[in-house]
Amino acid sequence: MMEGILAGLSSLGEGAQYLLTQGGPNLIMIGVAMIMFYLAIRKGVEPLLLLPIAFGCLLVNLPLSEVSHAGGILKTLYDFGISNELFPLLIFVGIGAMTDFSPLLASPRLLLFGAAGQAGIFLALLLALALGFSKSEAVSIAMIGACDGPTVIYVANLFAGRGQISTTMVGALAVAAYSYMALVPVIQPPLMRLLTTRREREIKMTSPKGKVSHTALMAFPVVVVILTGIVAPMGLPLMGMIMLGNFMKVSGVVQRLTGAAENEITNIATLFLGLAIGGTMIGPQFLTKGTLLIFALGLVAIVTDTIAGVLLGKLWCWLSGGKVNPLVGAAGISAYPIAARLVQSEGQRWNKHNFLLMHAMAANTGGQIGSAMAAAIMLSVLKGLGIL
Amino acid sequence: MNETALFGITLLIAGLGGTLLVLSLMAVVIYLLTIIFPSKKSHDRETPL
Repeated sequence: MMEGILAGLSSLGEGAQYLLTQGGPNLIMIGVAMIMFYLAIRKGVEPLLLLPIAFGCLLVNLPLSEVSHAGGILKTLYDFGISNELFPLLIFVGIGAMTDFSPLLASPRLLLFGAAGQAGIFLALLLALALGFSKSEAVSIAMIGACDGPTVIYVANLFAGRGQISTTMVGALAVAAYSYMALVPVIQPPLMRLLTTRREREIKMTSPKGKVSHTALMAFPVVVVILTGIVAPMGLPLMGMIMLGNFMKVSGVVQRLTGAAENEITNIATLFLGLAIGGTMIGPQFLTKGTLLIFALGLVAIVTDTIAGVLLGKLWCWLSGGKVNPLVGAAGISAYPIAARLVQSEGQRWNKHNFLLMHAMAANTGGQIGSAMAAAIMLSVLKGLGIL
Repeated sequence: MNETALFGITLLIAGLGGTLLVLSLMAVVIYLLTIIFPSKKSHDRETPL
């Protein structure tokens, strides 16, 4: 009997034994989870997503954990909503329901900033290919330049579902994408100041002309969906879900559904997505040179997005005879509404009477559409090339 | 030119060019929408459907 008790008790020490003998990578990832907890709780860095990701990371790295094995909770969540792109698409419905496109409709030309804000995707793509990543991996990494977490996860999973990239890489991409989205207030202002003169930053822009009709606001999502379906059908799920959420909002007749999309659906999808993504961060597979390169290329992509936007703003400023503040170009990324608010605060820092918010919001919503459209076009081109 | 470089350049031209082209087209469509549906009381619904 004594032998049985000792044998039973010895199994309680297996976890500690594993950690001490071969659990180095897991211990490091537990440390990473603690850093993410700190950033989310103390620093307020994307807490809605970082906290569940960190907890998933903690759970999956505890010794002999089976949560990411077949039948485990995190594996079940991954199969249920990540491997088929369900969770990112549900989040897109919420994003659409939370976005106000009226500043963009009042100044449609500012949509072009949304194109410039995707330039980083293409530089990161070329660099990733040069560094030896496969075509599918390079495209997935490049999408960090969309500065849009759900888009990155959506594209990466299309490849992961076909066995073209590993699920661990999806986790690394998601963490990199959300980290850089959270770091936009740190990354962008120095670049904005570096690339513009004080005189340019002080430029006051006139308010957008007139109001946008309710009919135009309702027609907008429908037209965008039809256009996307015609030119880039591979991206229709992305754009379709954003525009569904927005159409529900502007129609004004399904307030309960809009409220659910903005709150319950987005919240539940975000929790499950975060946990499932955290569950892919298994130490021995996650801690590789590839992960470090993903983070480095992601940073290059976000920096390039900002530079391209501000440079387009400077060109526009020159062409318009000094009527466009180049800072607005920095808002052409998908991080909404933080990029627009940054432009507003940066503009006011140099000229207290400057109100760039509406222009920046237009560029920022243009960035949202631009990122989904860039992903849609990339996927359609890849299908044409036989990669997808 | 090797296959990887060709792939990168193809995606750069088709992807960036395509994004610019489609967003420019979309800007024109939005502009037309605001002309077709101007902000006037007669065109605007004040109450939900």
